[in-house]
Amino acid sequence: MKHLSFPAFGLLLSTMLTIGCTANRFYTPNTMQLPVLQESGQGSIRGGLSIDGDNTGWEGQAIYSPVRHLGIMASHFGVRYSGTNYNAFFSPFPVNEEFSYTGSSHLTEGGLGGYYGVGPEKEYLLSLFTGFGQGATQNRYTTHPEPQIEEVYNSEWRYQRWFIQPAMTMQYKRLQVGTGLRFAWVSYFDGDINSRVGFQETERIELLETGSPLFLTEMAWSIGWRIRPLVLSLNSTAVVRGKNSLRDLNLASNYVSLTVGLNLHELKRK
Amino acid sequence: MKKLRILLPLFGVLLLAAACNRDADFNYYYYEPEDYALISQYLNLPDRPDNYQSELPKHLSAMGLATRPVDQDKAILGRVLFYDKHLSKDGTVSCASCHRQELAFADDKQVSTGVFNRAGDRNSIALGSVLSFSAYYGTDLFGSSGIPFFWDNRANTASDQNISSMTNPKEMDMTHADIVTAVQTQPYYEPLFRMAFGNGQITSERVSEAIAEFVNAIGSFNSKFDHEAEKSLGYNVYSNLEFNSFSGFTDAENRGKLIYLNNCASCHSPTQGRPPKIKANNGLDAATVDVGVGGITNSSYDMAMFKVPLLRNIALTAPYMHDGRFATLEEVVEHYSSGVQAHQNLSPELLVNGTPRNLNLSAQEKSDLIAFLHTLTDEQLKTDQRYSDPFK
Repeated sequence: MKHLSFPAFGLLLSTMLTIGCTANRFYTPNTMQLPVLQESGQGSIRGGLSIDGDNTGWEGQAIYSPVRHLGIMASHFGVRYSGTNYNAFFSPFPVNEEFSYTGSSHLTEGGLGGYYGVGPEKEYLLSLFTGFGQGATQNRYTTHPEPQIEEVYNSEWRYQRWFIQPAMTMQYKRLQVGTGLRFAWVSYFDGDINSRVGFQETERIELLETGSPLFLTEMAWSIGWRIRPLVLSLNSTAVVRGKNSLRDLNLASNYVSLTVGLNLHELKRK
Repeated sequence: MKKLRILLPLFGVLLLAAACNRDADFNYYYYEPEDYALISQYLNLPDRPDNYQSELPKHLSAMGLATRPVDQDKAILGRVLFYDKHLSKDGTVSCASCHRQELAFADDKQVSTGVFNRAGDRNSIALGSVLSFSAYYGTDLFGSSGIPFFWDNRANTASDQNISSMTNPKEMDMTHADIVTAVQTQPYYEPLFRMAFGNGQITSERVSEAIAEFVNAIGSFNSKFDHEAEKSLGYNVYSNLEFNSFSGFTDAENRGKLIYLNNCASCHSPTQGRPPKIKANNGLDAATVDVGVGGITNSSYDMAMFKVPLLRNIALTAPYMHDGRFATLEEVVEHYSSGVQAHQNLSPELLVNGTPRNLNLSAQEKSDLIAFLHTLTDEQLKTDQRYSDPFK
């Protein structure tokens, strides 16, 4: 493992970004924050980006341990997406028209949990965090029924998310890896839907409404390259099992991001 | 520990916020509020319209039939226009006057009555007698294989058909300019045209297009026959139709089905899908009384030939034939049993050795055949809100 070189890491990173980045309209899992804390006073901040075609995601995250074995975390996540479609029966529009869509979603949340280091240098870290967040999703559909005419329809709603996440991370020299599960309950509320976006699209939104809160099991892994005090990481968070079909609900199944983190305690040492 | 004393209450607040978990309560809207307020003064249109896009049962889709995509906004506009009596010269007649929903979009008169009580030339054709107008009607959809409109097949598209009726002096007696004026003066049309066409400009072509969209969206395939055919036949519709008794049919209905398949289906379709023939002479008269298709083509071979309709909802659409001469199904069956006349263009299916072929059905067979014809009725069509009169 110690022979893992930066070029190999770069190759793995670019490969994963190419195949993994997915942003969808109704729910996208943000990058799971996998704590790497060993002592009180330790903390880190990091920023992330995910670009896949017309989909762009970004996020900022922070974690801090005020007392030993206890951590707090906060994050903000946003994603924008756009595209075009053209299909009479399966498009949001019931007519044989091309339409374009743009949208965005954001989520701000905080959490609290505990961690416990094991190993000779506490290089293995087990953690359990829980938290709560709130966000919103907006979709905007544009069509041109005639060349000079533009029609725009919107659907938007807010949502809350509760989560519990057990995780395990490991640090070895320049390598930092982690994996975790996130059990999430996503509740939708305050929706304002223009049902002219089409029956199939509206039916999916109704499924969100009637199925709320959705219980989602998400799995994450992260591999990072440490250049103290920085950590460059490739992260993936995937919805591995949900109560409802992901496709029916128009949920993204996977989110891959590249993050740059700054370990604040390592900065102090310098 | 001091930090803990601060952090834990903070997290408690977070939990309390989460505990106020809110139920999903989405607001769905189709019309802009001001548009809907205006429309609702005159019309009963649901704030969330039903889907006009129909799906065919598999025993029909397996035949290659398909409905075309429906433009929801144009269909809604077309529905309003279809029922609007402002579209007639004296304000007494709409399309729906001669195409009544409860009668499968036919009427109950021998020949239809137009403006100023003018009598029409022929019996009103039931729009609900087709599985879906768009499934096979009109050359705008299917080129030369499309089925034309009217008893004499003189219109190639649903638009041609409805503009012809609106401008026919015996029906609605409007000019194109009259149509535009009549629609422009009704305040509920501006938002409906804007939604359907992107702006509120009103033209007779748009009026015609919207009515055609509505008519093309009318689907009728929820009859007992359809349910049994789908259940019993599936995709083996061709091989099994004659040999399978439908489990949900009575004995009389199953016997009637066999009589129908052996004697009627070659013109009227075994599956109530696309009719095999688009015109025929069925021996109503020995001499030509009404030239029918021949009046359009000027061909002697087409004289006294008329459209061959599907028999969907036939029990609802009396009186029968192009001139409405038969008041009941019993009279129709009697015609084919004993009354076929030797017209020069008599359909080959009704000829045996050059003479008219009468079916010579027994009383039981006639009763069975009529029992089967009643299984073609789609009760749901009669009250389907999507096709109903929207005016208050």
